Amino acid sequence: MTAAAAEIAGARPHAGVGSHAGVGSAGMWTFLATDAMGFGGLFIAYGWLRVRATAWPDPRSRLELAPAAAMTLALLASSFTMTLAARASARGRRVGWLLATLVLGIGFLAGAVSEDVHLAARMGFSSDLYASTFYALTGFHGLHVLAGVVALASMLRPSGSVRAVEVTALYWHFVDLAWMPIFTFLYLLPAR
Amino acid sequence: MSAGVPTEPVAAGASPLPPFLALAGLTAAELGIALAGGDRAVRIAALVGLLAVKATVVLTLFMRAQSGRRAARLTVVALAAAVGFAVVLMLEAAFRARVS
Repeated sequence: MTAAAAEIAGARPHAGVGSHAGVGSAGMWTFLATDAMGFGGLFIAYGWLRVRATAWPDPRSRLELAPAAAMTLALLASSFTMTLAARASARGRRVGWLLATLVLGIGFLAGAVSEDVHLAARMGFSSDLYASTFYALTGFHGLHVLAGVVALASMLRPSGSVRAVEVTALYWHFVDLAWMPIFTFLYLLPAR
Repeated sequence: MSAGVPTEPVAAGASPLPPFLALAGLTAAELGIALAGGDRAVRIAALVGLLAVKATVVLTLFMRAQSGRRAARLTVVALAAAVGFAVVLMLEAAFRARVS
């Protein structure tokens, strides 16, 4: 069994690998708790505006579902590769999985920018409430992905610690998690 | 370190492949429901249900939020409260649209 296959199959290199225990992990969880409230505030604003609006456009009349689905799958796959990167980190072989995660994250960002460029021609930030909430939520999330990509790039240094990769993995999974309600509410939920 | 931060990883050796495949399958199911016709309230309920399952998979199998960290629990509560509130508002709107 190759090292990569062993990581996918869940072989355990030694006790403690994958552990989020420690100061860095506790600090990251605390940060994620506050950050989740930021996302929560935006979701509440979105829900409130949607309910109060006299008319709300159907997402499929404005957004293309196929690119958004591809972006979603890229983020899901990046969570998978990030988990493997955290495990491989203890063996000193994290670079391959980190690079895969980095490429998927950059792919997601490229998809988001491409979508915004195409949308900008017919839907500006202040066109209507749907447009404003769409750009606010996806923009806020995109900034998180960008921060994650920068963090991942910094992890490629050979001097990076195992703990740092584990904490970054926690952040990256959160970025994946935060995208899920955005995808459901903004892209999939049918209008009235 | 504070209490609530475990010293033993939970399911550290479990393969991340099954959760990933499950998430991909659930996303495909979401797309199928979104593209399918039918009653709007039923589709909304199904989409929200799938969202909840996906979020649970990421929180428990990737982030291991169930392992006793207080901050992790706070994150879950904050996310669940915000999403739950939005869902209630939308279901209420869907109900209004049906009766009016």
